[in-house]
Amino acid sequence: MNLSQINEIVTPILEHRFHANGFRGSDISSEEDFDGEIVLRVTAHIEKPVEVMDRVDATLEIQDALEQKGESRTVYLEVETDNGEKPDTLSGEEI
Amino acid sequence: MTMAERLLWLAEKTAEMGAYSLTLKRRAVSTAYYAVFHALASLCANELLPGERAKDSKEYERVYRALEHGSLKHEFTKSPLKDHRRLREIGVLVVKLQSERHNSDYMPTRRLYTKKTCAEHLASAKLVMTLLDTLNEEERRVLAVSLLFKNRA
Repeated sequence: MNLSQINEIVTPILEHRFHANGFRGSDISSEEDFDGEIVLRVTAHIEKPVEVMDRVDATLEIQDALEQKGESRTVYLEVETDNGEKPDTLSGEEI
Repeated sequence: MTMAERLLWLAEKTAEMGAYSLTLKRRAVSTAYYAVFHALASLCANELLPGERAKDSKEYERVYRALEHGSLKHEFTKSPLKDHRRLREIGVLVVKLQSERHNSDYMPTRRLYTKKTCAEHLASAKLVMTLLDTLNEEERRVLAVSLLFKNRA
């Protein structure tokens, strides 16, 4: 499945599950994981934080729905709430 | 306190101390994964060699060390682990933490975690350990055997 087809399945699930948290949309990308497997990274943009268990349940629902369509890549679901904080910008540390 | 619990405590302290340090947030996430890994190794060893006396044996050490990082992701994403709801939930969390552990330890990107995303990974590790404690006898057996032994069927 291409990312657009995947998005058509994923978005309604996230919309339904995270409606109360202020779901605003999602991005999907595919990338190589540490073991060489190509995985799907789904980022849900949401206004209010989501409990870890709710993220797990959403991940499993997405995986089941995609598997029914023959898509078996591992799904990593990220939940992004814009609190204005940028990653590591205040550290002053260099890699 | 078990080693896994102590590691999780250390991850939380590291995150707290390093809220504005990219290095410490990375260490916190990596340590959180290792907390989970030791919790799994301990569960596997205790399942196969129950009893306090067994813990001092060479056999216990051998079983404990039999758990491999490399096969975790594969085992959690196939049967029989994916056939048990609670084990699937644990699998989602463990596999993602493992991927983050690699990012934390090796990725040269400067911007990896905010305080919040770091805290979320630690919360995931904590939830795994809570879920492991709620497993019934069958789930513990399935988990231990699946993670330690290859299925040659």
